[in-house]
Amino acid sequence: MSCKEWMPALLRAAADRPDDADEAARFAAHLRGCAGCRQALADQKTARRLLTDRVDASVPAGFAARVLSAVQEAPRWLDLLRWRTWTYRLAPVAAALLLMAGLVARSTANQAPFAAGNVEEVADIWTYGAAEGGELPAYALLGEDGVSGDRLLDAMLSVAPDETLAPGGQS
Amino acid sequence: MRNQREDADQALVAAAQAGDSDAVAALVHRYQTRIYNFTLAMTGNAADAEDLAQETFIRAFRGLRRFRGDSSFRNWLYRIAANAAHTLRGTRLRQSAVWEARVESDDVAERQLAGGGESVEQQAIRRQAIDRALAALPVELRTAVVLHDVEGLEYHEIAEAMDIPIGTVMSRIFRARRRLRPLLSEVRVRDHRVLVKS
Repeated sequence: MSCKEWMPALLRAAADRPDDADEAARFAAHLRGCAGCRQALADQKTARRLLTDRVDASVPAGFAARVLSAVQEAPRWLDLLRWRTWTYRLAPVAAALLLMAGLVARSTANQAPFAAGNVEEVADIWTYGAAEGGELPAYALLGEDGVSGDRLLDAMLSVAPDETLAPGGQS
Repeated sequence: MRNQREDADQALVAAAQAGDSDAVAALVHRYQTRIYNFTLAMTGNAADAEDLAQETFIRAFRGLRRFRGDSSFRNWLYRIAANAAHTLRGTRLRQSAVWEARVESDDVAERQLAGGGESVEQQAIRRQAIDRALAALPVELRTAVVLHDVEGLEYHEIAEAMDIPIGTVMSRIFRARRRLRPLLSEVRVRDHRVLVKS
């Protein structure tokens, strides 16, 4: 066998992963007669010994403290890069905006009771949605077809500024 | 079969995953020397090595919730460090590292000649000579041989950390040592003394 054919055996010998006994004996016989393979194996062992004897360098002073500080700081700004994080956090805002857009679209479907860009009015109606004197609350008008902008505005202005809609939809 | 180190790591990792900052600190202290020396051997200079080691720990702890213990925590760290080293290689690895190491080595050698060397300095000379030789290797060969011969990982652990077959690990280490042998010729160990050829 040529040296090239003995290469797998040389690799295993260099890795201290011996072949079975028969193969190891055959390779040992080859080594006895092959100066090139003997030198290659010796070089492997020498290089390994020199690397194994490499003495550790000391870790720079304060390294652990810097790492821990960085570990604690890193998430705050890196979280911005996580689309799932900010998507989930902004989901309620997006839902509110969608709802408001839907309300505006519905109100403008028949006679455009709101002037374009009067989204603030809708938001205000939601805030000051209670009507006086047993009338329908202002926000309830949003569900009716054909309600004019003037009527909605009247309903809104008739509500005291400090009266807000209760969480359950009651004033 | 897990050993005591891995058992201790597992407990610390579980605590760290639950938000225990003391466990995070313990893991950093436990592995800072190993990871720093790995990155030092990979980069050849202290500044890059520290940056890389720090990056390794940051990546590890940011991804700790995804760590399921399929490998040991130590090997997982080495894997992150090796990936970071590959990334760094293509971006901003300090090109003057080899030259800096040589200059520093010469300075130490001069001090030895002038006033008799100390063992710590001798160790530093040899380490720098080794790191200088390692720097001449392609990063794939360097990673494998450093993990095995410097860091002491087993072949199967390196295969796991580098995500390559064990035969490839053997081949890379063999080729790395073959290339290193002439480069390491400047390092001589005689009677427990280290000499550096001029």
